[in-house]
Amino acid sequence: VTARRATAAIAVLVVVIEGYFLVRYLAFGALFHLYVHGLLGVGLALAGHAAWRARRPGGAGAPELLGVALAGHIASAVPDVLFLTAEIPHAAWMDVFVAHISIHFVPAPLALTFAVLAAGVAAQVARVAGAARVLALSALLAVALPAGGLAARSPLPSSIEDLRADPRIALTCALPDALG
Amino acid sequence: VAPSPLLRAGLLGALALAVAGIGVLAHLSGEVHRLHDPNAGMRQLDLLFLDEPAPLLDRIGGPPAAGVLVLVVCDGCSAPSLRDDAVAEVRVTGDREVARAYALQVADRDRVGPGYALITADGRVRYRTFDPSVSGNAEEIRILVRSLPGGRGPT
Repeated sequence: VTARRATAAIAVLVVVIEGYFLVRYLAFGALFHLYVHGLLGVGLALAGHAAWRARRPGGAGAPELLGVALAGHIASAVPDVLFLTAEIPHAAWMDVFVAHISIHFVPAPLALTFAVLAAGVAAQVARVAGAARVLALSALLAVALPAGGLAARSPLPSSIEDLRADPRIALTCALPDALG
Repeated sequence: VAPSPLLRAGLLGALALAVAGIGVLAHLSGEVHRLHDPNAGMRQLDLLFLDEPAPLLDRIGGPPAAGVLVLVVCDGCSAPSLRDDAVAEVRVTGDREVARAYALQVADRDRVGPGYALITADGRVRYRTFDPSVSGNAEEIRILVRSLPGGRGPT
């Protein structure tokens, strides 16, 4: 009964907090941020937990896993919470929260962070299966993917000229205008 | 018969990935993704990363007399309505030259914005972002305006 109550309590907490995130990100038209930070935070948390748990006896119940996943999401979304609740704009130092700024600039951020979540889930399944090598590989992948992405990230622009350096952005002097 | 722990873990993992995957794919195929900044990293970053003289100030009517100018750059969109606790002047333009000067026009489509730039009373541009729903994101703009010099009004 105690385990069921704990599961129900943490499940309610997850629904409330994730529901808050979903509603607020939707209101700002910013689901991209929900996915990038959510997938990264939950994936890393699941992978880290699987690696930590593998060395300890006993299984991990649903409350523990839900709590870990929720904590991972919250840790990676702290700057967004500060923006929404305390009206504090983002700043470069907020990278301390699971690379909150820099993760935007990795190649294919949505695909990469989804892969991190998949690696975290794989690590948990491997833990339950007792497949130590698969667990180690999955957990390593969950860390190596964002680390590699961050190493290859594009720099944060600091001027309009930096923004225009992107070939997908129109140049200031378009040819038709120059001719006209 | 209760499912084995491994089967249960596998099913839950597959469910989690399916939910996340469907959400990501829906986002990638949606209007917001299509209209947003081609550089995904710059999408509503909410970080005041610019601090330079605003380009084409004369063409957009000069800097704001006070507070912050919200320069909305788009084709036919409506202006956001900010609450009184932000000191802001909102101007909307579909001028392509202005859009290019503020890096708010994409190269491969004839589309101006949609997006906006924030310009302070001393004529400096402090922020620029594409935003598929500028008028719908007044709250986000208000927070950014209030964090800039002169942008905080009475609460």
